[in-house]
This record gives sequence, structure tokens and C-alpha cells, in this order.
Amino acid sequence: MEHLLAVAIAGVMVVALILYALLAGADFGGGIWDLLAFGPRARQQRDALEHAIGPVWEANHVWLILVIVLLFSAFPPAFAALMTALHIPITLVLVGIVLRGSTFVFRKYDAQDDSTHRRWSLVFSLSSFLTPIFLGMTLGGLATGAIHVQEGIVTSGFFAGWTTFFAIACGLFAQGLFAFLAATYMTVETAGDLRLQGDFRQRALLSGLSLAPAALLVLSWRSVMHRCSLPV
Amino acid sequence: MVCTSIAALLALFALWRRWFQLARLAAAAQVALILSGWALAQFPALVPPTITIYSAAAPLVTLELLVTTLGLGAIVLLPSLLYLFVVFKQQRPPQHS
Repeated sequence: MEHLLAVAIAGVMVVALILYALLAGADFGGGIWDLLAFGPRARQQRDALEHAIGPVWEANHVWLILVIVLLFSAFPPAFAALMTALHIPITLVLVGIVLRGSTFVFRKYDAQDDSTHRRWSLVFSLSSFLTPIFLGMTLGGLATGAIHVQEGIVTSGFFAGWTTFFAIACGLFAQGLFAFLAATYMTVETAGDLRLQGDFRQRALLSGLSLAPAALLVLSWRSVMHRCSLPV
Repeated sequence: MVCTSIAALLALFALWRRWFQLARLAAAAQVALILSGWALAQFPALVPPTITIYSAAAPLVTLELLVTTLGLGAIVLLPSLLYLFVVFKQQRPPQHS
């Protein structure tokens, strides 16, 4: 019974994490394309992104909150270990989420087209650009199996796992994946404007293709680890 | 793994052919498959290699209460979120401004 409930709650956590990636991940990706907007329609691209993210970005964070609450309620020793061993990347993720959320709102209700507005926009898009990397590094670092716990105390220090080459590859992969998701969603959102839709189609194709080498990097590392029969 | 690759290729192909609804679906499936693959690969480890979901689980009464609360919370949360997305994300004819 206990095992069944633990599996059920862990399953809910995985589903919530997937929904977070699908919804909030796309919001991060939107910020990435805000930073990388170029061409004759850069302004329209940014407006379309803002229009798409605006109503939903706050609600999308409910899934991350659910994951964290379930982690510390249902699996407290694991929460303690993760928050200790990975506190540096997790804090960076938190700072990034707060910065991009608040600056998105500041620039929305701020006077348009002045230097203050541009500064908020820059913080918004830069934090959207960097946060997915730290998010991916956190999960990648967890998956390396480098975090060691003895009698409830983390013995592997604050840099185990997330500073490995594998975790950094995971971070870049998460960033590319979120950008790809956002651009793909935007092709549906911009259905009324063929040229804008074409812009996002091109970006989705480019970022989608760039995922392939990153995925191979991650996979090859995993198979090497398996061959050496190390925990992955 | 195979399913993930198929979803990824389908998403790119659909983008190429401008089947944007299908591309969105396939891209979402790709992300969901990547994350479930990772979760299944390390199951039942939660913090590999030492902590599993069994060794870290809270007392039974906590888990029971959590599952109950999750069910009740879902009744409130899911329809509200669905409504939010229906209001803001449904297909609208292009607006003239």
C-alpha cells in the first residue's frame, strides 16, 4: 500500500514536470526568441510573443510549485538531499524565474519605447535565455548519480553532478528544446499573419535541427556510463 | 527512445510541410516522451544512487492525506486551468486593427 502510494505520487510529479516543461518551458522559449528577434519584423515578433505569453505565464508555474510541494511532503529526505546538493543551480533558477516574471510585468505596464522599457526587456529576455540552462543542469546533475547521501547528510559537496559535462549538455538541450517548443507553438498562434508565421516556422526548424547534435551528445554519454556499469 | 525520435522527426516534417497543428502536437509529445523516458530510466531511484521513492517516502498517513488532497485539488485546478486556456488560446479569426 505504502509502495503503491509512493509510486502514484511520484507519477503525479512526473506528469506535473512534463506539464511544466510543455507550458512554462514554452514561455521561457518565448523569452529566448524575444532576445533573438531580428529581421524586418523583429518588433512584430516581440509583440506576438508578448501577446502569447501574457495571459498564461503565471498560471503555468503552478506545475513547478506542485512538484516541489509533493517532493517535500511525500519524500522529505530526498528534498533535503536535493536542496542541499543542488542549491546553487536551484537558487539560480529561482532568481531567473523571479527576474523574468517581474520584468515581464514591469515592461508591460511601463511607458513604451524608452530606455527603462528596453532595460526591463533585456533583463526579461536574458533571464529567459539563461534559466532553462540551469533547470536542465539541475535535472542532469540529479541524473548523473553523483549526489551521495550518508545517513541523511549529503557527502558529495555542492558541486557534484551539476558541474559535469553531461549536466551542462542537458542544460543546453533544455534551452534548445524550450526554444523549439515556443517557436512551434508560435506558428499556430500567428496563423493570421503568413509572414510572421514563416518567421517562427524557420526558427522552429532551425532550433529543432540543432537539438539533434545535443541529443546525441547526451545519449552517447549515457551509453558510455552504462558500459562502465556506473549508475546513470 | 524510438517513440521520441519518431515524434521529433514528425514535428520537423510537419513544420516543413506547414502542418502547424500537427507540429505543435508532435513537439509536445517529444518533450513528454523525453521526460518520461528519463523518469522510467531512473525508477525507482529519486536521488540516484542512494535514495529511492520507497526509502524516502513519508509515513503512510501523510501519503494517504496527500493523495486525497491531490484529488480534491485537481477538481478545482484542472477545470480552472482549462478555462483559462479556452479563454485565451482558442482559435480566433485574425483581428483587424
